[in-house]
Amino acid sequence: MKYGIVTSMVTDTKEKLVGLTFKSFEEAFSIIKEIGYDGVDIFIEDISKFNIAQIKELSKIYQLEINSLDTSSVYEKDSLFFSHDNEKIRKKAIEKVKKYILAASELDSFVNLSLVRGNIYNEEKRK
Amino acid sequence: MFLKGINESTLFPIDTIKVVEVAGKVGFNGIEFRIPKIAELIKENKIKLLIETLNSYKMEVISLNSIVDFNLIPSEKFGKILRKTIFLSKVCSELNCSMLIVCPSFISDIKSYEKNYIFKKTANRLELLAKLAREWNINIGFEFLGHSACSVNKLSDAYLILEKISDIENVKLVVDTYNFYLSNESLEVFEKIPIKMISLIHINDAPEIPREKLTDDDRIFPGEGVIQLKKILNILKEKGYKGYVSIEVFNENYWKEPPQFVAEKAIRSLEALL
Repeated sequence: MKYGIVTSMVTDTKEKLVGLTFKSFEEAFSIIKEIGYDGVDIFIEDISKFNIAQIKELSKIYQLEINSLDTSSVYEKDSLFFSHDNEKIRKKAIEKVKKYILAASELDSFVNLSLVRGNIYNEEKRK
Repeated sequence: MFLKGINESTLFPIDTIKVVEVAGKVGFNGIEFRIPKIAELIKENKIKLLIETLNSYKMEVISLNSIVDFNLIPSEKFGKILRKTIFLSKVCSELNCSMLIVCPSFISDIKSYEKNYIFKKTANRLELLAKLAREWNINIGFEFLGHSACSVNKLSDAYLILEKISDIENVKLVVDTYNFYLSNESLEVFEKIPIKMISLIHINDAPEIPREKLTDDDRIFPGEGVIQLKKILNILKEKGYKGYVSIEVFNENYWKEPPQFVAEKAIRSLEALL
Protein backbone atom coordinates (compact mmCIF):
# COMPACT_ATOMS: atom_id res chain seq x y z
CA MET A 1 0.00 0.00 0.00
CA LYS A 2 1.23 3.49 -0.81
CA TYR A 3 0.55 6.62 1.23
CA GLY A 4 -0.81 9.82 -0.23
CA ILE A 5 -2.01 13.16 1.06
CA VAL A 6 -4.14 16.00 -0.25
CA THR A 7 -2.28 19.23 -0.70
CA SER A 8 -3.18 22.72 -1.76
CA MET A 9 -1.44 26.01 -2.21
CA VAL A 10 -1.98 29.23 -0.29
CA THR A 11 -3.13 32.01 -2.58
CA ASP A 12 -4.31 35.52 -1.90
CA THR A 13 -7.95 34.46 -2.07
CA LYS A 14 -10.02 33.81 1.00
CA GLU A 15 -11.25 30.48 -0.32
CA LYS A 16 -11.38 27.58 2.05
CA LEU A 17 -8.53 25.30 1.07
CA VAL A 18 -8.24 21.57 1.39
CA GLY A 19 -5.63 19.34 3.01
CA LEU A 20 -2.12 20.47 3.86
CA THR A 21 -1.63 24.01 2.68
CA PHE A 22 1.70 25.41 1.49
CA LYS A 23 3.13 28.59 0.04
CA SER A 24 4.10 26.81 -3.14
CA PHE A 25 3.89 23.39 -4.74
CA GLU A 26 7.68 23.20 -4.48
CA GLU A 27 7.44 23.57 -0.71
CA ALA A 28 4.55 21.10 -0.61
CA PHE A 29 6.34 18.39 -2.57
CA SER A 30 9.63 18.75 -0.68
CA ILE A 31 8.00 18.48 2.72
CA ILE A 32 5.54 15.73 1.78
CA LYS A 33 8.40 13.63 0.39
CA GLU A 34 10.56 14.14 3.48
CA ILE A 35 7.67 13.10 5.73
CA GLY A 36 7.53 9.84 3.82
CA TYR A 37 4.47 9.94 1.58
CA ASP A 38 4.51 8.23 -1.81
CA GLY A 39 2.04 10.46 -3.61
CA VAL A 40 -0.08 13.59 -3.55
CA ASP A 41 -3.68 14.46 -4.35
CA ILE A 42 -3.71 18.02 -5.62
CA PHE A 43 -6.51 20.39 -4.76
CA ILE A 44 -6.63 22.81 -7.68
CA GLU A 45 -8.07 26.18 -6.92
CA ASP A 46 -8.16 27.41 -10.51
CA ILE A 47 -7.54 24.92 -13.32
CA SER A 48 -6.84 27.72 -15.83
CA LYS A 49 -3.77 28.71 -13.80
CA PHE A 50 -2.62 25.15 -13.08
CA ASN A 51 0.94 24.66 -14.29
CA ILE A 52 1.12 21.07 -15.55
CA ALA A 53 4.80 21.29 -16.56
CA GLN A 54 5.77 22.44 -13.08
CA ILE A 55 3.86 19.61 -11.41
CA LYS A 56 5.37 17.09 -13.84
CA GLU A 57 8.87 18.30 -12.95
CA LEU A 58 8.18 18.26 -9.21
CA SER A 59 6.68 14.79 -9.45
CA LYS A 60 9.83 13.59 -11.20
CA ILE A 61 12.46 15.15 -8.97
CA TYR A 62 10.72 14.43 -5.66
CA GLN A 63 9.61 11.02 -6.92
CA LEU A 64 6.02 11.50 -5.79
CA GLU A 65 3.06 10.14 -7.74
CA ILE A 66 0.20 12.45 -8.56
CA ASN A 67 -2.67 10.32 -7.37
CA SER A 68 -5.49 12.62 -8.34
CA LEU A 69 -6.57 16.14 -9.19
CA ASP A 70 -9.32 17.34 -6.92
CA THR A 71 -12.27 19.17 -8.50
CA SER A 72 -13.85 20.45 -5.27
CA SER A 73 -13.29 24.06 -6.23
CA VAL A 74 -15.51 23.67 -9.32
CA TYR A 75 -18.39 23.20 -6.92
CA GLU A 76 -17.21 25.28 -3.99
CA LYS A 77 -15.72 28.27 -5.75
CA ASP A 78 -17.39 28.32 -9.19
CA SER A 79 -20.73 26.89 -8.01
CA LEU A 80 -20.81 24.54 -10.98
CA PHE A 81 -22.08 20.97 -10.69
CA PHE A 82 -23.39 18.15 -12.85
CA SER A 83 -26.82 17.86 -11.27
CA HIS A 84 -27.74 21.54 -11.42
CA ASP A 85 -31.27 22.46 -12.57
CA ASN A 86 -29.86 24.81 -15.14
CA GLU A 87 -28.54 23.10 -18.26
CA LYS A 88 -26.07 25.92 -18.95
CA ILE A 89 -24.52 25.42 -15.51
CA ARG A 90 -24.33 21.69 -16.07
CA LYS A 91 -22.57 22.22 -19.40
CA LYS A 92 -20.16 24.68 -17.83
CA ALA A 93 -19.38 22.11 -15.13
CA ILE A 94 -18.66 19.49 -17.79
CA GLU A 95 -16.38 21.87 -19.72
CA LYS A 96 -14.47 22.70 -16.58
CA VAL A 97 -14.04 19.09 -15.54
CA LYS A 98 -12.81 18.24 -19.04
CA LYS A 99 -9.86 20.55 -18.34
CA TYR A 100 -9.07 18.52 -15.24
CA ILE A 101 -9.25 15.31 -17.27
CA LEU A 102 -6.80 16.67 -19.84
CA ALA A 103 -4.39 17.75 -17.09
CA ALA A 104 -4.76 14.40 -15.34
CA SER A 105 -4.02 12.51 -18.55
CA GLU A 106 -0.70 14.35 -18.82
CA LEU A 107 0.14 13.57 -15.20
CA ASP A 108 -1.02 9.96 -15.40
CA SER A 109 -3.40 10.54 -12.53
CA PHE A 110 -7.09 10.28 -11.66
CA VAL A 111 -9.66 13.03 -11.40
CA ASN A 112 -11.54 13.12 -8.14
CA LEU A 113 -15.09 14.22 -8.93
CA SER A 114 -16.04 14.66 -5.30
CA LEU A 115 -18.49 17.56 -4.86
CA VAL A 116 -18.88 18.41 -8.52
CA ARG A 117 -21.58 15.74 -8.78
CA GLY A 118 -23.71 18.23 -6.85
CA ASN A 119 -26.87 17.76 -4.83
CA ILE A 120 -30.44 17.37 -5.96
CA TYR A 121 -33.05 19.20 -3.94
CA ASN A 122 -36.80 19.06 -4.49
CA GLU A 123 -36.31 15.98 -6.55
CA GLU A 124 -40.02 15.38 -7.04
CA LYS A 125 -40.40 18.74 -8.84
CA ARG A 126 -37.63 18.04 -11.33
CA LYS A 127 -38.38 16.61 -14.74
CA MET B 1 45.85 -4.22 -9.26
CA PHE B 2 44.72 -0.69 -8.53
CA LEU B 3 44.09 1.95 -11.15
CA LYS B 4 45.97 5.24 -10.81
CA GLY B 5 43.91 8.38 -10.63
CA ILE B 6 44.39 12.05 -9.94
CA ASN B 7 41.94 14.64 -8.75
CA GLU B 8 41.97 17.95 -10.60
CA SER B 9 42.38 19.71 -7.24
CA THR B 10 45.97 18.48 -7.10
CA LEU B 11 46.89 20.71 -10.07
CA PHE B 12 44.07 23.12 -9.43
CA PRO B 13 44.82 26.58 -10.82
CA ILE B 14 45.58 25.44 -14.36
CA ASP B 15 43.04 24.96 -17.12
CA THR B 16 41.18 21.63 -17.04
CA ILE B 17 42.26 20.64 -20.55
CA LYS B 18 45.87 21.28 -19.51
CA VAL B 19 45.33 19.15 -16.36
CA VAL B 20 44.24 16.24 -18.57
CA GLU B 21 47.29 16.66 -20.82
CA VAL B 22 49.74 16.82 -17.90
CA ALA B 23 48.14 13.91 -16.01
CA GLY B 24 47.87 11.86 -19.20
CA LYS B 25 51.52 12.40 -20.11
CA VAL B 26 52.79 11.09 -16.77
CA GLY B 27 50.63 7.97 -16.95
CA PHE B 28 47.51 8.38 -14.84
CA ASN B 29 44.65 6.10 -15.96
CA GLY B 30 41.87 8.36 -14.82
CA ILE B 31 40.98 11.82 -13.62
CA GLU B 32 38.44 13.38 -11.29
CA PHE B 33 37.02 16.75 -12.21
CA ARG B 34 35.80 19.59 -9.99
CA ILE B 35 32.24 20.67 -10.80
CA PRO B 36 32.92 24.46 -11.02
CA LYS B 37 35.73 23.81 -13.52
CA ILE B 38 33.46 21.62 -15.65
CA ALA B 39 30.78 24.31 -15.46
CA GLU B 40 33.33 26.76 -16.89
CA LEU B 41 34.05 24.40 -19.80
CA ILE B 42 30.34 24.00 -20.51
CA LYS B 43 30.00 27.78 -20.58
CA GLU B 44 32.95 28.06 -22.95
CA ASN B 45 31.56 25.26 -25.13
CA LYS B 46 34.71 23.17 -24.64
CA ILE B 47 33.28 19.81 -23.58
CA LYS B 48 33.96 18.29 -27.01
CA LEU B 49 37.58 19.42 -26.81
CA LEU B 50 37.83 17.93 -23.31
CA ILE B 51 36.52 14.56 -24.55
CA GLU B 52 38.96 14.60 -27.47
CA THR B 53 41.85 15.36 -25.09
CA LEU B 54 40.78 12.57 -22.73
CA ASN B 55 40.58 10.14 -25.65
CA SER B 56 43.98 11.12 -26.98
CA TYR B 57 45.57 10.21 -23.64
CA LYS B 58 43.27 7.17 -23.17
CA MET B 59 42.17 8.61 -19.85
CA GLU B 60 38.84 7.97 -18.25
CA VAL B 61 36.81 10.30 -16.08
CA ILE B 62 36.51 8.73 -12.65
CA SER B 63 34.11 11.17 -11.04
CA LEU B 64 32.70 14.67 -10.75
CA ASN B 65 33.42 16.28 -7.33
CA SER B 66 31.21 17.14 -5.50
CA ILE B 67 27.69 18.09 -4.57
CA VAL B 68 28.08 19.33 -1.01
CA ASP B 69 25.72 20.02 1.87
CA PHE B 70 22.92 17.76 0.64
CA ASN B 71 21.76 15.88 3.70
CA LEU B 72 20.72 18.43 6.31
CA ILE B 73 19.73 21.53 4.38
CA PRO B 74 16.04 22.46 4.80
CA SER B 75 13.53 20.56 2.67
CA GLU B 76 12.63 23.61 0.61
CA LYS B 77 16.26 24.05 -0.45
CA PHE B 78 16.78 20.40 -1.30
CA GLY B 79 15.05 20.80 -4.68
CA LYS B 80 18.11 22.71 -5.89
CA ILE B 81 20.29 19.69 -5.05
CA LEU B 82 17.90 17.36 -6.90
CA ARG B 83 17.95 19.54 -10.01
CA LYS B 84 21.74 19.78 -9.79
CA THR B 85 21.91 15.99 -9.60
CA ILE B 86 19.89 15.62 -12.79
CA PHE B 87 22.02 18.18 -14.60
CA LEU B 88 25.33 16.68 -13.44
CA SER B 89 24.19 13.14 -14.19
CA LYS B 90 23.67 14.24 -17.79
CA VAL B 91 27.14 15.83 -17.79
CA CYS B 92 28.65 12.63 -16.32
CA SER B 93 26.95 10.63 -19.02
CA GLU B 94 28.36 12.88 -21.74
CA LEU B 95 31.86 12.48 -20.28
CA ASN B 96 31.41 8.71 -19.98
CA CYS B 97 31.94 9.11 -16.23
CA SER B 98 30.03 6.79 -13.93
CA MET B 99 30.26 8.58 -10.59
CA LEU B 100 28.93 11.74 -9.03
CA ILE B 101 30.33 12.39 -5.55
CA VAL B 102 28.21 13.90 -2.78
CA CYS B 103 29.41 15.13 0.62
CA PRO B 104 27.43 15.62 3.83
CA SER B 105 26.53 18.95 5.45
CA PHE B 106 28.58 20.70 8.10
CA ILE B 107 26.72 21.77 11.22
CA SER B 108 27.97 24.01 13.99
CA ASP B 109 25.79 22.44 16.71
CA ILE B 110 26.35 18.82 15.77
CA LYS B 111 25.73 17.59 19.32
CA SER B 112 22.14 18.83 19.22
CA TYR B 113 21.32 16.42 16.40
CA GLU B 114 20.46 12.81 17.20
CA LYS B 115 22.55 10.36 15.25
CA ASN B 116 19.46 8.41 14.18
CA TYR B 117 17.93 11.55 12.69
CA ILE B 118 21.08 12.27 10.69
CA PHE B 119 21.32 8.65 9.52
CA LYS B 120 17.69 8.46 8.42
CA LYS B 121 17.67 11.83 6.70
CA THR B 122 20.96 11.14 4.91
CA ALA B 123 19.82 7.69 3.77
CA ASN B 124 16.50 9.01 2.47
CA ARG B 125 18.16 11.81 0.54
CA LEU B 126 20.86 9.54 -0.87
CA GLU B 127 18.10 7.26 -2.11
CA LEU B 128 16.39 10.15 -3.89
CA LEU B 129 19.65 11.27 -5.52
CA ALA B 130 20.51 7.73 -6.54
CA LYS B 131 17.12 7.11 -8.14
CA LEU B 132 17.49 10.28 -10.22
CA ALA B 133 21.10 9.47 -11.24
CA ARG B 134 20.12 5.90 -12.13
CA GLU B 135 18.30 7.15 -15.21
CA TRP B 136 21.73 7.93 -16.73
CA ASN B 137 23.46 4.87 -15.21
CA ILE B 138 25.38 7.08 -12.80
CA ASN B 139 26.50 5.96 -9.35
CA ILE B 140 26.36 8.25 -6.36
CA GLY B 141 29.66 8.20 -4.45
CA PHE B 142 29.04 9.09 -0.80
CA GLU B 143 32.14 10.64 0.76
CA PHE B 144 32.17 11.23 4.52
CA LEU B 145 34.38 14.09 5.70
CA GLY B 146 36.45 13.52 8.84
CA HIS B 147 36.11 16.99 10.36
CA SER B 148 34.32 17.02 13.70
CA ALA B 149 31.70 19.50 12.45
CA CYS B 150 30.68 17.31 9.54
CA SER B 151 27.33 15.56 9.99
CA VAL B 152 28.77 12.24 8.78
CA ASN B 153 32.41 12.12 9.82
CA LYS B 154 33.24 8.44 10.21
CA LEU B 155 33.60 5.61 7.74
CA SER B 156 31.64 3.29 10.05
CA ASP B 157 28.73 5.78 10.14
CA ALA B 158 28.79 6.25 6.37
CA TYR B 159 28.60 2.49 5.98
CA LEU B 160 25.68 2.18 8.42
CA ILE B 161 23.81 4.83 6.44
CA LEU B 162 24.33 2.93 3.19
CA GLU B 163 23.16 -0.27 4.84
CA LYS B 164 19.79 1.42 5.38
CA ILE B 165 19.35 1.68 1.62
CA SER B 166 21.11 -1.53 0.68
CA ASP B 167 18.49 -2.26 -2.00
CA ILE B 168 19.66 0.81 -3.92
CA GLU B 169 22.59 -0.48 -5.93
CA ASN B 170 24.00 2.75 -7.31
CA VAL B 171 25.16 4.33 -4.05
CA LYS B 172 28.68 3.45 -2.91
CA LEU B 173 31.29 4.75 -0.51
CA VAL B 174 34.17 7.02 -1.43
CA VAL B 175 36.90 6.74 1.17
CA ASP B 176 39.41 9.55 1.49
CA THR B 177 42.45 8.53 3.53
CA TYR B 178 42.87 12.05 4.95
CA ASN B 179 39.27 12.13 6.14
CA PHE B 180 39.67 8.64 7.55
CA TYR B 181 42.77 9.81 9.44
CA LEU B 182 40.90 12.86 10.79
CA SER B 183 38.08 10.64 12.05
CA ASN B 184 40.61 8.70 14.13
CA GLU B 185 38.87 5.39 13.54
CA SER B 186 40.67 2.09 13.71
CA LEU B 187 41.76 0.30 10.54
CA GLU B 188 39.50 -2.56 11.59
CA VAL B 189 36.57 -0.60 10.16
CA PHE B 190 37.80 -1.49 6.68
CA GLU B 191 37.59 -5.17 7.60
CA LYS B 192 33.87 -4.87 8.31
CA ILE B 193 32.89 -3.21 5.05
CA PRO B 194 32.10 -5.39 2.02
CA ILE B 195 34.50 -4.35 -0.71
CA LYS B 196 31.71 -3.99 -3.27
CA MET B 197 30.49 -1.05 -1.19
CA ILE B 198 33.66 0.95 -1.85
CA SER B 199 33.80 2.57 -5.26
CA LEU B 200 36.79 4.92 -4.95
CA ILE B 201 39.77 5.69 -2.74
CA HIS B 202 41.06 9.24 -2.44
CA ILE B 203 44.66 8.96 -1.35
CA ASN B 204 46.78 11.58 0.36
CA ASP B 205 48.83 12.00 3.50
CA ALA B 206 48.87 14.21 6.59
CA PRO B 207 51.82 15.99 8.19
CA GLU B 208 52.67 15.17 11.77
CA ILE B 209 50.63 17.85 13.52
CA PRO B 210 47.68 17.30 15.89
CA ARG B 211 44.58 16.13 14.05
CA GLU B 212 42.41 18.96 15.36
CA LYS B 213 44.76 21.49 13.76
CA LEU B 214 44.74 19.87 10.33
CA THR B 215 42.85 21.54 7.49
CA ASP B 216 42.29 20.37 3.93
CA ASP B 217 45.09 22.66 2.76
CA ASP B 218 47.58 20.58 4.79
CA ARG B 219 47.14 17.50 2.62
CA ILE B 220 50.41 16.21 1.20
CA PHE B 221 51.44 13.49 -1.23
CA PRO B 222 51.15 9.84 -0.18
CA GLY B 223 54.18 8.60 1.71
CA GLU B 224 55.24 12.04 2.94
CA GLY B 225 53.21 11.96 6.15
CA VAL B 226 51.92 9.85 9.00
CA ILE B 227 48.84 8.06 7.62
CA GLN B 228 49.17 4.27 7.52
CA LEU B 229 48.56 4.17 3.80
CA LYS B 230 50.39 0.92 3.11
CA LYS B 231 48.28 -0.86 5.70
CA ILE B 232 45.08 0.59 4.27
CA LEU B 233 46.02 -0.40 0.72
CA ASN B 234 47.03 -3.87 1.87
CA ILE B 235 43.66 -4.41 3.51
CA LEU B 236 41.94 -3.22 0.35
CA LYS B 237 44.11 -5.46 -1.81
CA GLU B 238 43.38 -8.48 0.37
CA LYS B 239 39.67 -7.75 0.19
CA GLY B 240 39.87 -7.62 -3.59
CA TYR B 241 39.50 -3.91 -4.30
CA LYS B 242 40.36 -3.28 -7.95
CA GLY B 243 39.19 0.27 -8.48
CA TYR B 244 40.83 3.66 -8.60
CA VAL B 245 43.21 5.06 -6.03
CA SER B 246 43.14 8.75 -6.78
CA ILE B 247 45.45 11.44 -5.42
CA GLU B 248 43.51 14.36 -4.01
CA VAL B 249 45.36 17.22 -2.37
CA PHE B 250 44.49 20.91 -2.07
CA ASN B 251 47.95 22.15 -1.27
CA GLU B 252 48.74 25.69 -2.42
CA ASN B 253 52.46 25.00 -2.20
CA TYR B 254 52.07 22.39 -4.92
CA TRP B 255 50.06 24.79 -7.04
CA LYS B 256 53.04 27.16 -7.12
CA GLU B 257 55.23 24.48 -8.76
CA PRO B 258 55.18 23.68 -12.51
CA PRO B 259 52.20 21.34 -13.17
CA GLN B 260 54.32 18.74 -14.97
CA PHE B 261 56.68 18.54 -11.97
CA VAL B 262 53.74 18.16 -9.55
CA ALA B 263 52.07 15.48 -11.68
CA GLU B 264 55.31 13.49 -11.92
CA LYS B 265 55.85 13.77 -8.18
CA ALA B 266 52.23 12.70 -7.59
CA ILE B 267 52.42 9.56 -9.72
CA ARG B 268 55.81 8.59 -8.26
CA SER B 269 54.43 8.90 -4.74
CA LEU B 270 51.46 6.74 -5.72
CA GLU B 271 53.51 4.09 -7.52
CA ALA B 272 55.83 3.80 -4.52
CA LEU B 273 52.83 2.67 -2.48
CA LEU B 274 50.99 0.44 -4.92
